[in-house]
Amino acid sequence: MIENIDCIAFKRDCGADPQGIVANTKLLNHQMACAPCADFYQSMLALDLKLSAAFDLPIHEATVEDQLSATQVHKQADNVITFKKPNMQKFKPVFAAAASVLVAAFGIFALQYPVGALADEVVEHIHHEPHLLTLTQANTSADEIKMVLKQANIKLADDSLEILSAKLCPLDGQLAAHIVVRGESGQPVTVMIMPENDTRGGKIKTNRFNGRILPAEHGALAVVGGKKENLDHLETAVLNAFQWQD
Amino acid sequence: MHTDDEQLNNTSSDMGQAENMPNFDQFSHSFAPDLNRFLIWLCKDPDLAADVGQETWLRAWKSWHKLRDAKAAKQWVLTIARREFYRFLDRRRDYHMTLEDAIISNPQHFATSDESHNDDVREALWKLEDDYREPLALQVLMGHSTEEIAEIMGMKQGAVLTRLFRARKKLQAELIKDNEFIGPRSNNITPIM
Repeated sequence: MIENIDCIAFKRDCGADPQGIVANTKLLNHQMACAPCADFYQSMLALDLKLSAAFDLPIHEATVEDQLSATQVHKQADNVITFKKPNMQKFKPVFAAAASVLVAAFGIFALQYPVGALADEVVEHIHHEPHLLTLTQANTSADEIKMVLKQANIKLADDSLEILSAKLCPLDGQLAAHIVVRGESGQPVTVMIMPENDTRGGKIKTNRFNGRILPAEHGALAVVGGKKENLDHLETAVLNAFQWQD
Repeated sequence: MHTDDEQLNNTSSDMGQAENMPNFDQFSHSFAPDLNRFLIWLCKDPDLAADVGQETWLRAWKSWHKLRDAKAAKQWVLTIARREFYRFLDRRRDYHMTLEDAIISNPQHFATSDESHNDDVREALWKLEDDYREPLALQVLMGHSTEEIAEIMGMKQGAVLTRLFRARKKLQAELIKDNEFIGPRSNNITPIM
């Protein structure tokens, strides 16, 4: 069959927007007068019905609630963050112990990212997942933890940390490893491993959290616990335990 | 790259927030399931979609008070969501989720035993190139006009029409190949040229 220009135009427009045909008198009239185009129109409407049903993936209510809880938590949180220059002396032994992880010279301040913004992103992200702040036992298997760390290009050098949860999360446009470990107090402490953030480090202090951002060999680490959590030993343990793969 | 505020300039005026603006909580609860569906089709990774969704709602909430046009709310949130996802991709150029990876890591979103009639079509949609699947999802799932899709995707309307046409053409060919009935009469399927 040789199609005329109207049929070609009709199929082009109908194939792009079948629902739009009803609003176009010229196209509507054409399909009423042309049986092949009428069939084509019907087949496109049938296809769209199937597409509509297929696109309609089941979404769990808990997923939606979890997504939106971030805004609720954020509304309630007093998010006053202060940043202080890190105490270099304090980190010296840590650097020595984890030389493969940390930037060798802390004085090389090749700063590309303002620490305030990064800390803000970290705290914001922690607020997004409030259920991780109340974990009492591991919700991630050892294999899953291993897989997450592998994807983040990190290896676990020792088993000094009790890891409760591990997942990869988009943070500041990168894929960060969001890890929750048990702190000294027994409460969950968040460790964010951010491979693409250059920073000289800084302190995180809010009404709810305290923590620190530490420069690392590739990017930065954040260790954030509750307001009263003592993180001194845990920071060292984290720096020793998580090492970047070559 | 545009900021959320720059995007808002297209949807706001100097006047205060319009009285007919929906409450953020009501709007987000009604729109979040569809946004999540769209993000799963965009990201091909439900976990990533959930995280991008979280970022999106937080950013939307922060700027909600500046939004002036209730009709533009969905388009504005979608624009934020797309930007969040592509910002992630920009930084993670090595990120690549295959259909196989997606099925293995999130079987609950792909094993549709209760609605097996959708399986073939879903599989065909997953196989479709991202450039074709995204405008189709915006049109069929999110109900946007081709003009709105062009705005959301930052493309000319003609280019959107071309992609939509080709998307349906590819899907039809795939479904005919799999003997999926798509026409008004199974023995009289009209090919899309």
